[in-house]
Amino acid sequence: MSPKATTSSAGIWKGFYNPAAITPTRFRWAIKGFDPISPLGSHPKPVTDCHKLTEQFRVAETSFSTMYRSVPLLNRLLARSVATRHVAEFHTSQNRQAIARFNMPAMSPTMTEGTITRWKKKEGDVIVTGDVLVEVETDKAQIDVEANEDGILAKILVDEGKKVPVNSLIALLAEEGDDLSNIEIPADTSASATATEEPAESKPAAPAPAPPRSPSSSHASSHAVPTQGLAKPLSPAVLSLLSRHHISDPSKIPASGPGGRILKGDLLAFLGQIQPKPMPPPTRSAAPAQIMLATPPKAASDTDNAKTTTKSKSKAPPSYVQKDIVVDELVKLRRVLNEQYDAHFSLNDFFVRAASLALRDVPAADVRYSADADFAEIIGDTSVSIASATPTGLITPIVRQSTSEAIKELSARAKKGKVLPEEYQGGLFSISNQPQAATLAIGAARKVTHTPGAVDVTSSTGIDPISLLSGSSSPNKKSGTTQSPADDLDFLSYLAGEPAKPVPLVRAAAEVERKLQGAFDISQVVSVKLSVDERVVDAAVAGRFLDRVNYYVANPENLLL
Amino acid sequence: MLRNAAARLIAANVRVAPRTSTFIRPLSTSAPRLFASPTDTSQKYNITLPESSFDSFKCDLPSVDVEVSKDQLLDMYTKLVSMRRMEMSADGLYKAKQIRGFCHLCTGQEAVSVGMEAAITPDDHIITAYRCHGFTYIRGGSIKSIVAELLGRKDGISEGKGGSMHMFAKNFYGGNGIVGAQVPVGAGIAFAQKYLGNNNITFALYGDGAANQGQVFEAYNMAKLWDLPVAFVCENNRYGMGTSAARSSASTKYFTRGDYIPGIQVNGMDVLAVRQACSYAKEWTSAGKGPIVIEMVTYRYGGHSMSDPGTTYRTREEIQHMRSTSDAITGLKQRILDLGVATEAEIKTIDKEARQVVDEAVEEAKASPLPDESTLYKDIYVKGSEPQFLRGREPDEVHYFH
Repeated sequence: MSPKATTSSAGIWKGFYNPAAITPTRFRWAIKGFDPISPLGSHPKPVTDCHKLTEQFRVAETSFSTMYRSVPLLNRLLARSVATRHVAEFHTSQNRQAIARFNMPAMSPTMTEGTITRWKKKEGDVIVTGDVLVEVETDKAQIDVEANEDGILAKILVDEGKKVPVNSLIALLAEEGDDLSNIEIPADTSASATATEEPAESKPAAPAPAPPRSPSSSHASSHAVPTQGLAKPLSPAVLSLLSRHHISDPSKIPASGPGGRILKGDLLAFLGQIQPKPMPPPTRSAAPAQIMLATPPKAASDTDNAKTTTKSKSKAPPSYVQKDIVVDELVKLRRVLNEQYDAHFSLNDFFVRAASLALRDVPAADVRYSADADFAEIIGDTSVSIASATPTGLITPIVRQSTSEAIKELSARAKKGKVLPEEYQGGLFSISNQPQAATLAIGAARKVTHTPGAVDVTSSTGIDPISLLSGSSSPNKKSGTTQSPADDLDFLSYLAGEPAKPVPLVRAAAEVERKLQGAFDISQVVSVKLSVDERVVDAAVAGRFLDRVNYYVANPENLLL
Repeated sequence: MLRNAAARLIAANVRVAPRTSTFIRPLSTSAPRLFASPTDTSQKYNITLPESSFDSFKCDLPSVDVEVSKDQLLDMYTKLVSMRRMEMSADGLYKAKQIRGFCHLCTGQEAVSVGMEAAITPDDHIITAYRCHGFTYIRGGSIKSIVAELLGRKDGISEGKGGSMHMFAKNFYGGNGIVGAQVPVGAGIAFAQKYLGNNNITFALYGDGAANQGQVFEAYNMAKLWDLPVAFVCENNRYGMGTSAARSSASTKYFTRGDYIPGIQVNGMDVLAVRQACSYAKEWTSAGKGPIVIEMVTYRYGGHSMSDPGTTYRTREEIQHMRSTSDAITGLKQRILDLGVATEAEIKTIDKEARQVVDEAVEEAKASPLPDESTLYKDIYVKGSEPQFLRGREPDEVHYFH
């Protein structure tokens, strides 16, 4: 039999097997050279060596053509499927042995069921490997299902529009030449993988109304676990455990999670695998469990009031601890150093250094009250901020390293108003809007007369120490909060190293001193007053702190360490 | 009329050689071979491949005259068919959700592995990427072990612990997941062979998508510098995942990408052409000429992996065209029938037997159990070098080796 060949060309095989003659015109491109059609839609630049490859394949075609026999079948196939010049004699794949099952394939790993949109082949159609058999709609997309083998579509078992689970039977395929009249559905011979798995194989999933299908996994589908009526959704771990143990009613499990959530521990306890250990009640605070408290922890009922009372507490009047420190040694050291280095150290430099060293020694004093939570926050560094007077107001730059140059430089800058915000906020001793734990006020040096060799110099009579912080000349006045700006300026200018303006009381003291010269020894004493925030630093800590300051001042060689 | 035309065509292309053939077989017969033993006494055939089967770059073309025996032809055909059937079974198992995870099938590319194995000895080395089921089979892995490995069972070739990316056989190094990572490793294997003085060739395979990886060129450099006996084989199946070669590579002539390394381009859908090219490569490296690049122009019918339908970046017509015009199995079957090596019925028998063997192996693999938990700790350390214990996730999961 001769094919539908042309009479145009002379070559032996051109007339005999001419793809150009057989293939419809619109698909001629498929012969000459194929352009891999990019997803962009337009024809891109063809592959550079495509023509040569096609040439190879065309050569292969001609060598195949010798066995080209069954043209009518070919034409039929061509009419049906585009550019398929498959010859019935040549099978590119295996022949079917017998009636075979065609199951709903899982087109993606997460697919559990699919809807048959359209059967592309009818019963009795010849199938070639690669032909689209059916269009299946999954939850994600519509996918064409191809045939893997040649054969005939013997029987369609599930109609269009039906939704079936994966691996359920939807069609039967047969070999060519088989008798299609008496088709029996072959038994399901696909053995499952669970031959040696646990015998607990109950499937809570609803069985498909199709011939029995082999259990393909030992887990129930996680969709089979009914989750209605639960207070909170189930976590994936819990869901997986439920399906693995085939628990059909999760509401029976006592839940101890927040809001009635079933936790994995609850489920494991329900299964008897662990001791029941319900979740501890949640803590509201974000604070760590272990903190160092300077004050005893507040009761839970007070925490709600903390926010409202913080403001008032931040303005609570501080309590004071006072100490008189003999500064003789310090004065000597100062003189020596000033001569040695030709500098102008002042007493307050040493005090600042002593204070920072004392902070290091007494960490409990190095705290800051945190308004957000009701506890004392330990600050790591022992930074001291020095109050400086500026034309625009009081500013307290922090001295991170208490060196004299730093102090001088800072105070000079502060006066000019050129101190950076981070330099004056957050210091331990500062008068800023942050609640501070303690403020150390250093009084002026005064001369105290005492009996020679007295141990406790400061308790001797003499003029009462003038608390410059109090800002008033009356020694009995015990006010620490009210400070007149004029006094601040005096105090600050003193701290900056400028000579203190003579105060009447000091003049009187000088008189006394002169008169008593010879009978008594005179020591220089500086009164320091520590005002503390009782919430964070209690009196005992303050006392210890001042003792350390005293120690450093009395033994100033330690300051230089 | 038809028969006369057919006869003339056959006569034009095929010559049945007399017993005393002057054509030297380009196959080494020193070691036992998978396809033909030195005592192969079956009938020899001389086949002339089409001129367009080869192209070369900076070297001579391989000869288009091929001598092959009947046993070899039928062996190759059986291997092709078994491989195809095995891949289709894996396809079906994946769609039945028995194989999970990655599954890259080489449906359509069988000629490369079968042709390569026909040209080399079991002492030669092959390393490839993740489209390795065919290579594992051809290098000695049983179908049962390969399918069981994909299913994750105890009888798998790596005890079910590795899957596609971890399949090994004798002188076959995987099974590698990282794109293009196996090429420098292949060069290293060749280096070891040269170092040990073995006259073996190493085939380092990669795809057209991996051909643009930097380490491939680094391997080229070192191989040429030290004259390593390695053949860099680019399996050009036109698409790197979903990107066509034209869209991914500035130069799609992958056999010229070696620059200073000579290369040949081969029709990778023709088993005999592949076999010829690999023999040529083996001669090349055995002669101490250093590395060579081979580009196998082939095609895969399926998608890049089982999660890729394979039709979003190419048309179904193109796939069907390739299936019908250049299929490796069809081509070899055509040759067999042309030469009269076997009849249609005999070939059908081979088909049926191969299918049966594969189906049985798949059933056995499915019946295999899942691996034991104790295998979790095996094969981590070389025996004897294990530490005392290995920590688990929780205190009671510590594993003591001794």
